[in-house]
Amino acid sequence: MLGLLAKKVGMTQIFDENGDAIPVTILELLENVVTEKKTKEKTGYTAIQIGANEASKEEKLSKPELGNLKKNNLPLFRILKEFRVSGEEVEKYELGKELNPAEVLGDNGCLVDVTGRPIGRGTSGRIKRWNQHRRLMTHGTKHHRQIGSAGPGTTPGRVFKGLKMAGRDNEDITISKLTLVKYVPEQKALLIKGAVPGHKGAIVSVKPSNKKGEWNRNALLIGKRKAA
Amino acid sequence: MRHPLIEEIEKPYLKDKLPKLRVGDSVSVAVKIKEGSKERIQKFDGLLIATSGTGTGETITVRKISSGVGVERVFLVHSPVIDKIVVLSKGKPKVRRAKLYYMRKLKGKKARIVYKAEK
Repeated sequence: MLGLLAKKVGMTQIFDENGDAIPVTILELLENVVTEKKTKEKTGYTAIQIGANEASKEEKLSKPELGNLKKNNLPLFRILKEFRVSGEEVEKYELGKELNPAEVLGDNGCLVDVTGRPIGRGTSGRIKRWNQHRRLMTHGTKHHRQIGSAGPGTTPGRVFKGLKMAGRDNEDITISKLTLVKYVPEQKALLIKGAVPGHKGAIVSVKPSNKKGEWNRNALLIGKRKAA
Repeated sequence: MRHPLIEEIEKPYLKDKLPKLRVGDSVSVAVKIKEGSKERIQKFDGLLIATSGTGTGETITVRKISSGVGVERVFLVHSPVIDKIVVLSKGKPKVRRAKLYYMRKLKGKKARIVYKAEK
């Protein structure tokens, strides 16, 4: 599904018509220009590439990226992100045109997925990384935050793959089913309920959530809750 | 420093007619309470012992002695649930702290705040 690129600005709270305070993250939308339409004939799969944030120098881009942008007479966008969409959807969008956020995401109250790089935690232990528990700090205990046993002994004589251990994470994560509280066209801002990955100023992508379920319904009812 | 965009987003949610609230002021907060389909207003009078936050998240902590028991409530100043805030005391409160948590230990005559006439 097609998504949008945005910059995380910070968090605040706003009030709904019941007077309840809703915690929201403010995302400032970037230009979001269609920079490439990938078709089955040409690339073997269908997708749309979105560009944003103009670069100051050509050297900031790779040669294939630069070639494509120059060929289509587009500004030199530093951030390029591809979204897999169906063939019909590729046809709908025009090259070089800015996307309409309301069209891509939907009305206020819809559910979205937000992808971004979380704030850095460096090399972290199993407690911070996997939400495991520590052992006693006192009463003669000599093991506090260590992992304990890594598995069986001579048989099988190795550590099983996927064992949760200390380490460093630097991968994008997606938080799904967040409520789009409001789209403010004047400020080009999205207000999303709850927290979003990344530090302030981080670039995140927002796309409509494809996950459906019973859980959704309550999330959609912001401000429309039954009077107690 | 907060981002200018946050201020702009918050602007429509902020109340423009709020009295100047100072720590040490004696205030009366009118809260809207929903009971079934009816709505009524309840007042909470007390001493403003702390303020916190900015923008839509600004809160005040009000303390009063109710039937001999100290009661504190935290109000979101800009919330639509708060109908009105009135400053009851006259003059500038003579306090030297930003947070009057020491009031929790005082009672009777010692738990008074002196107000100075403003020029």
